[in-house]
Formats: sequence, structure tokens, C-alpha cells
Amino acid sequence: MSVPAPQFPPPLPQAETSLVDLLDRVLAGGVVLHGELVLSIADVPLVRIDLRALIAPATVGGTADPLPLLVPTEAGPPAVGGGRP
Amino acid sequence: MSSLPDDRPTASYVYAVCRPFDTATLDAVAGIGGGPVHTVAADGLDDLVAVVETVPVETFGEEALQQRLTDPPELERIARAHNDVVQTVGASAATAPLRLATMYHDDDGVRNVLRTEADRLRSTLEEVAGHTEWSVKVYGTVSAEAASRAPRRAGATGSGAGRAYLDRRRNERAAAERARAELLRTVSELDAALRTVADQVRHLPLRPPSADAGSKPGEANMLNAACLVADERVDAFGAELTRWTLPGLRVEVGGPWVPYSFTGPDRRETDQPETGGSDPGQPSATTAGSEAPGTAGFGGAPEPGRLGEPSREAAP
Repeated sequence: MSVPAPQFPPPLPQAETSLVDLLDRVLAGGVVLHGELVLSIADVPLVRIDLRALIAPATVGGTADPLPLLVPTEAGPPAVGGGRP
Repeated sequence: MSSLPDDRPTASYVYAVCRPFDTATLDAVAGIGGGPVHTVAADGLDDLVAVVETVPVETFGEEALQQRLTDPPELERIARAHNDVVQTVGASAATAPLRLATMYHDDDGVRNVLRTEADRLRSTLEEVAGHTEWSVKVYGTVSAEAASRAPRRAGATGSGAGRAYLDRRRNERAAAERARAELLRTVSELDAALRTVADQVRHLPLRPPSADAGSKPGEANMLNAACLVADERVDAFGAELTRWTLPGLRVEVGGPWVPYSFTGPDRRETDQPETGGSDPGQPSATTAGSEAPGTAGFGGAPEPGRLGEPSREAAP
């Protein structure tokens, strides 16, 4: 893939990456290999619940409340455009 | 390697599989357990290496890691550490990130899976080589101004006043609906435009405002796309996005990512052109394929949380 890619937009320091964007990728993306130890981890119900609550709280109504802890406080990536009135 | 020098048992945590690269780039990286990260290759396979950390079973084994992942701050720390390693490798070689928490008893287990999965891993690397993933999120706002762009009947008094008020409210609602529909059309066009500069576009779940630190009051997330972009088209991709500076829309771009969203088991089911994904409750892995393209999220009646209500209700 030969990163560094061209300079649009400037690559972000990882610390500024939105946590939700990150979890969307590391928990729902990526190659799935059958690890010798992974299956029970992937199936941990609590992980699923936390993940769903984080990524799609609208569907989880009433489950535990990880959001206050999980919602990151840092700003998202810089806006392109900015057409908001 | 199956134990630390002090004889504590260990496991092999795998971050990614990639083409061979200069491992000096790993010197400055610490893994999820804070330890060094090394590569593992299998005899007879000279085009694949796994990126691995030897972690103590006591603190990062099956049960311990499972426990850690249920603790939000620890989940965040591990996710970031995992991604840091993956992005570092991705800067040096075509990289297929593995899903978080893929572990083997030892490096021999890793060699074994490299051999048994070699074909699949090769074809994945072939697809993502020379590409990066970019996040494009679009937020929409129906402004009070747009919502109130409704004809008004002035001067009604007495028994006519109540009727006039109801008419006005109805007209305002209709105007807000039109403004909303207009935004939806624009987002559809933007989505189609992305496909002219990206190799693939996937829709990730839309973000309810409560889960999205990036959204602002009154805004609704209307598109959450992952775009696989060839290195030589990144400039064109950026240029295309800068065209979409429009009232009522805000576009956020993030990246480059190693192509996580295009290396999963469902990676071939690339989304058809549509906006808004299907159901914000579905994880991204299930949004592709079966849904009818188009307007599941946007077409009919407005849903709360989908597209923000006007920030200000017209006063009676």
C-alpha cells in the first residue's frame, strides 16, 4: 500500500483518531483468521454488547451504559468543506 | 517461543499479515502488552510474514484479554496499540490487518496458519496493495431558516388566527421536509461521486449523535463511508471532496487507514450506491449485499435521530 500516501489531508497523528472510527475498523474489519485462542474472545457476549452499545446505541436501548466512558473527548478529523450554516 | 525468560507461559498475538518489509520500522513500536513486536515467517513462504507480539498468558492470555476487552478504557488502549502497530507496518508494506484479538499458543501456530491460509492472504494483499482506506462522514443540518421558508398568511385575527397558525405550522413542516429531501439527494450525489474516485465504497453504520463525538448539536450523520482509494488517486479523491462545500452539509475526512474495512470476510460484498446505509443498528459486516439499494434510511418519513430536526421550532 506504500503509505505515506499523498498529502490529502495531512495524515493524522493516531492520538487524534476518533475512537468510534477506530473500533468500527479493528472490531468489525480486518482479516478473520481462526486463532487458536481467539474464538472464545470473539464470542464474549460482553464485548459484543459494549461494541454494539458504542457503535449503535439506538438498537441496544436499556443495556449497560459504557458510553460515557467510551465516547472520546478529542476532536474528530479536520473538516473538509465546512458548509454548515 | 512459548515462554518468557522467567518461564512465564506466553501466547502469540498477531496484528497483521503483510509482505516482507524492513523490520527495523518495528523497533520503535510497542505492542498491546508493551513488548517488542517481531515478524514470523513460514518455511517455503517467502512472500508472507505475520506481525506478532509475544504476550504473557497471565496478563494477555485468553481469559485475561477477554476481561480487558470488557473494560472500556482498556479496550480503547488495546485498540489504539493494535492500530499503531498495524499502521506502522502499513507504512512499509502491503498489509492485511487482522481483526483485534487473534491469538495463537506460540509462533508455530502462527506459521501453521500462514501456510494453511496462504492463498486467501495473498489474494487479500493483492487487492489492498497500493491502496489506502479513507473515512468520509457527512453530517446534515436542516436550518431553521430553510424550515421557515414557508408561505405565511398574514393578518388573520379572531377565529381565523388558530386556523392560520395551524396552516403555518403545516407549511413549515412541509418546508422542513423539502429541505431534508434536498439534503438527502445531495448526499446521494456525493456518494455517487465518491465512487468515481474510489475503487470501492462501503457504508459503515450511521452514528447516532450520542455515540459520535464528531457530531454537533442539530446535526445528523447522513453518510459514514469507508473508501478504498488507490495511491495515485488520493489527490483526485481529495479534490472531489473539496467540491462538496454546501449549505447544510459538513464533510469530515479521516485517513489514511490500512484497509480494515476491505479485508474482512465480507469484503467482496461492496455496497451498491445508496446513501445512509441500511439500518444504523446493523454492524457494518451485515450492511452489504442483501439490502435494497437506495433509501432505507432516508426515503420515507423522517426518523428521529436520522436527520436533525430544525434547531429551532417556529414560535406560535
